[in-house]
This record gives sequence, C-alpha cells and structure tokens, in this order.
Amino acid sequence: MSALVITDLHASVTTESGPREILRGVSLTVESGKTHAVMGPNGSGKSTLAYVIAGHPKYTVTSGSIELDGEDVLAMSVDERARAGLFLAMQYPVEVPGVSVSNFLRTSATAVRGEAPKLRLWIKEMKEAMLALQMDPAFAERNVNEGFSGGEKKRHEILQLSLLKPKIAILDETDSGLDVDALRIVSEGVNAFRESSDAGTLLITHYTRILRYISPDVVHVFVDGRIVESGGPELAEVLESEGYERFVQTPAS
Amino acid sequence: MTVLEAPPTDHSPRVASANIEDFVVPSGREEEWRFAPVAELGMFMHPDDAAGSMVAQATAHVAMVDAADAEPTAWLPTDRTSAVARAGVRSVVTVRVADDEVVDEPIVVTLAGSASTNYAHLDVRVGRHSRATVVIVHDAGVDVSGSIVTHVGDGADLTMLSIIDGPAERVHLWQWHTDVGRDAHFVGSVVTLGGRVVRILPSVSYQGPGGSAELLGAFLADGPQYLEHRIFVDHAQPHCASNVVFKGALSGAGAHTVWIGDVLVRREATGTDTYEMNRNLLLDDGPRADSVPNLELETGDVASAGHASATGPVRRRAAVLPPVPRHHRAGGAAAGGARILRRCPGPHPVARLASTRARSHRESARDGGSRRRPRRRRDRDDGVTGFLPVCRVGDIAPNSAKRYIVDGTAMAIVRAGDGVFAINDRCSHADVSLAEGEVDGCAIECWLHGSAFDLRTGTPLSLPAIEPVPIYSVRVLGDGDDALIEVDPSPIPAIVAAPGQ
Repeated sequence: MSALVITDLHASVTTESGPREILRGVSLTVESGKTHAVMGPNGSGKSTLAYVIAGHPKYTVTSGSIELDGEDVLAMSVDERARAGLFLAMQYPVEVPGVSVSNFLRTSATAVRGEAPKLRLWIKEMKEAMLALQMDPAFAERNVNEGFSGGEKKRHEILQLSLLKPKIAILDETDSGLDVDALRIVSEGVNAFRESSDAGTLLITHYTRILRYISPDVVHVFVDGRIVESGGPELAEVLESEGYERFVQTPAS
Repeated sequence: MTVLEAPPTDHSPRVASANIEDFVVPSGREEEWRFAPVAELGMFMHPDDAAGSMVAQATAHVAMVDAADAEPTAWLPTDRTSAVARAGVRSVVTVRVADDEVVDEPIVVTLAGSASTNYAHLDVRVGRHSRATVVIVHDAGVDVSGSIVTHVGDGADLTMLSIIDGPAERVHLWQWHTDVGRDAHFVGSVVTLGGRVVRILPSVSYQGPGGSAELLGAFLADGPQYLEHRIFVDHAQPHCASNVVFKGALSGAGAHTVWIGDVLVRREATGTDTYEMNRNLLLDDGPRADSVPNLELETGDVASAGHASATGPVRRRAAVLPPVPRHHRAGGAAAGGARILRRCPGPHPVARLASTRARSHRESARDGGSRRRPRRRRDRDDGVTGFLPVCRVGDIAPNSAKRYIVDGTAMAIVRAGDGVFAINDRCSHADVSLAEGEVDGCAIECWLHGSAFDLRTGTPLSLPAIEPVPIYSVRVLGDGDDALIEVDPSPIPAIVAAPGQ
C-alpha cells in the first residue's frame, strides 16, 4: 500500500510583476489502487499541481507538504521523486533530438529499477508494451517525440508508464489533442496499467470525455488553485451537463 | 457594438467594428489597401439597398437564417468593405456540426448570388470533438463582398476548402475569420482561379492552448486578374501551432498577385510552433507578384518559428519541366490553370490538403526506418574511380531520400518513382542536408528554404538557390528491395541544356 498525501499545498510562480500564487491550499490523498480525477477550467492551476508534485523548478512551494509513504517529496530532487515511484505523463511532451525511444526507455528503467534490465528480456518487454499500445516497433528507433503526432506523443507517455511501473501515476491532460481512436487506445493502456499494478492514479483532465473510458473512484473539482468540491463519478456527469460555471461563480468578496 | 483599439502590435488590425463609420473609405494609400485597385471597388464602399445576399441550398448541416434572427458572433469586421457587407446582408448561411458528431462526407455549400452585387455572411460552427469537412463553392458570376466566421470547438477537427473558379470578370471580397478551440485542429484552404479582383483575408485566433491551424492556398493569375491573399494568424495562447503555405503561378501582362502573411506571436503564446511560406512562379515577363511575410515575435520561448517567400521565373534553360505552351496561357487561368499548377515545383497545396494525413503517416514510417550506414568498401585500385556499393534499394523508402557518406562525400541517395539518383547532400543555397527534404517527381526540395533541385541535372528549379548541386552516377544491381545501389563518387560534369530548350 502506498499513499501520496498532499496537505495544504501553496505554490507560486515568479512573474515580471512579482510572485503570483497559483496553488492556494490543495489537500488531497491518492492511495494505491484508487483513481482520482481532477477536473477544472482553463487556468485553474491543475497542471501546476502536477508540475509541483513532479518538481518543476519554475514553481516555488511556499507552504504545505507532499509525502509519499511518509517520505518528504518536496525534499527530493526530480530524479529522486521518479525513483521513489512518482510518474508524470506530460501534457505537452518535449522533443529530445538525438536520443532514441529505446535508449531513453532503457535508461529510465535502469534508473528507476536500480539495475539495467537484461537486454534480451528488455527488448521483449518493450515490444510487448508497444504492441499493447498499437505502436509500430519502428518507433523504438526514432528520436524521442521528434516528429511524433499528438497521439503518438501521448502513447509514448503511456508506454513509459507501463514500463516504469510507478507507485503513483499523474496523468496531466493525457486526453488533450486525441481523436476518439487514439483516446480509446491510450485509455486502454492506462486501464491495463491500473489492473496490472496496485498503483494510484491522479488523472488531470479538462473534459469528461476520457472518464467514459477510465472510471474514476473520486472526482475533484479544481478551481482557482484549490479543490472546491469532491465526489463520486456522478460529479463528472454534473460537470458534463452544467459546466464549471457553478463553481467559478463563487463570490470573490 | 463598436470596438476601437489603439494599435496593439505592428500587424494586427487597427480597428474592429460593426459600425461602418469607424472605417474611412480607403484611398489606396492605407497599408492594407495599398496594392488593391480600390477605384474598382466603389460599389462595396457604401451601403447599397439594391445589393442582394448570397444564398445556399439547405441540407442536413446547412441552413439559411434571416440576418435579424442569426446567432450573434464575437467577430467584428476589420475593414470598410466587410463592415458594409455585414451591415447590409439580409440572410446568413449557417453550417452546424453537433458536439461529438463525425461527418464523413464533405458538407458542400454552393453559394449563389441573387443580384449583380451581393453581400454574404457565413457562420460555420462545429461542436467540440466533432470532425467534418466543409467545401465552399463560390459563385463566379456575381460581385460579392462577405465574411466567413468559423468556430472550431474544443478538440474538433475541421477541414475547409474555399474555391473561386470561373470567369475572370467579377469582384470577390472576403474576410474569413476562424476561432480555433482548445486542442482543436483546423485546415483552411483557398483555391483562387477565377475572378477579376479577388481579395481574401483569412485570419486565425486561438481560444485555448493546444490548437493548430493550417492555412493552405493555391492560386493562378492570368492578366488582368488581381488576386490578393492577406493572412493574419494571432497566437495569443500557449502551445498552439500554425502552418501557412500559399503557392501560385502568374502569367500575362497585368496579372498581379499579392500575398501578405502576418503572424503575431504574443508574449503569452509560449511553446508556439509556426511557419509560413509563399511561392510565386512567374511564367513570363508580364505579371507582378508582391509577397510580404511578417513574423512578429513578442516571446522568445517558442518551439519554432519561421517564414519563407520566393518569387521567380521559370528558368527555361534549366527547366526540365517544359515551358507552358502559349495556347494554354491564352486560354485563361481557369482553362490552362490546372496544367500550370501541376508544373509548379514543390508539393501541391491542394494535393496536400487531401493527403495531409496520409503524408504524416508516410513520414512517420519513413523516419521510423533504421538508418543503417553501409559499410564502406573501397573498390580495387585506389578507390579513386569506379562504383562503390552504398545501400540496398529497400533501405530507402519510396519517394524519399537518405544521407550516406560515399568515399568521404555526403550524398543524398534518392528514390524518385522507379529511379534512383545520387545528389550532393548539401543545398547550394545554405548548409542544409537535402536528404531531409521532400522528393517531388524528379526533384528534391530543400526543407528549409524550399529550393527544389532536378535530380537528373542538379540544377535548381526554384529560388532561393541559383547554383547547381553536384550529381553522381548511380547503378542498381539486381531487382526489388534487395537490389544493390552503387554510386560513382566522382561528380558528373554539369549538364548544360541548350538555351531556349
């Protein structure tokens, strides 16, 4: 059993006009085997939450804590967080020219597992994982994300997820920019990961569309840097039909 | 509603307003009117009650709505003629695709004028996560001034094509604004063949991050046609992409084309990926082509940004493509047009429209191939002369190129149709690998600035390159994918075609 415990997290970003607070007191616990969906409108800070958990240097945590199985995540460097079992599937994956997918995956697997996977077994493992995501094996020889379509980039993120087997997976808008077919394949990949491991999943999304394929245990509504309401899967249905207006229109004064 | 703005940037429209009086009647000295024959556009400068409205047949997705009952749009005219038309139009053509709806068949909107002079307004909205193709066929038999306002919902995928074909007699003035939703994809294409004076202003803005837009254009101008395409892409959201490609050919005295490509990347539009290109092929000494790309960057935090423009003649001496016979040109752009267009170097924007998806698959497949370097084996003797084995035919995807070092020389080994060619890998214009370019017919196009080279002679077919690239003798031993490609690394002396042919 693992648990990611976020307590009263405040984080800000430095802008030209001084620091601006983006996360304003987030408290959230993601346990093994559970899937939490975080939904919110544009600019609510839900992607920032993902970045802060992963350790993006652009954001400064001003107060609050993040713990994974009792360990202080905020004290860890980015790679230490990955080794501790955190994983972030990025919304806009970056291109890494000159580094092949296969090289990238094996290097990260080596880092996370503590020893290099045996080459023969590794190739088999990678091929099977790619097959499950309907990826052409030729992908392994391409440079990371270079010239990938939106769908290919997202499949590559899920491929990493299935090979690195984290304790807690954070999926940041994995559904954005996907057509229906790609969305289905990516969702199946996420579901296969959830079934094959005891990991917890934090699914950050703007649309309810992906929740038709990946059923969450808990849905959180994220507005203006904090969780304003939590509930079961039925909350997603409410958001689908009513939108975020009800939550956004909380009086400011 | 009136919105008057101080100039926020160098290239965005100065005024956006529904009120005609907010726009002065252009004299022709204004920046946005400086090329246009404004004296011929007088009928669209002032409201005219006798003007008709463009109509279209109602279908499953298309409807005619009285202008008074039409859904309001956030878009506002940005010039005098569109403000006059927007105020005067009596019926609106609407195209609607519902949320999540996938329409496989193209939705064809055939416009027809009800008078000699017409106003038009089209309102196209596709819902979130929908997918559709909309084709707008213009009526070349009437004068028209109008606007198309397109809204692409979040995550939707919309392809649009606007075609002006027919006699070169009438005036067509169009503003075409598109709002691209979050993570949505939009392809807007214009094909301009007919019309005496055509002025199309496509503009794109993004409603959320992750959107992408492609604006493609193909145009042919024959004297005395005036064809203007004035593009404005406004990046104000992060992680959006735009790609603008306009290609045209001109012939005959008085033919005049204008291409203005304004791309603005605002401070907040980090992670933007933008490229725009214009190509104009002059088929004789008569026409004039104006081409002005403007890229305005307010942030340095972009994924990539670039532009290119080239206007040049068909170089008969170097032309592998036979010159266009006089009688085709005399037949007018519409008649001879398709033939000329097929001869334009570089990928055909219209063909591209149809094959955008196929192409991206092809490219991925090509990139996915492992780049095996052939073992270099020197021929007997000193290895100074003779053919050296380079690779197998199957190592190179059909109609693509790969870079190999042969006896110390970097070459692009190219499969074009059934042929295999070897050309020096370095573009003669800038230090760019030709193997990364696109193979088109018997030519390879440098991806950076778009110069195409004839694979058979090495001569440049389009600007900016003017110097030829060395080529090499190739022989293919065997059949099929296993056939061995051998190259003689000593360059073939330049082939100079006889002047005039």
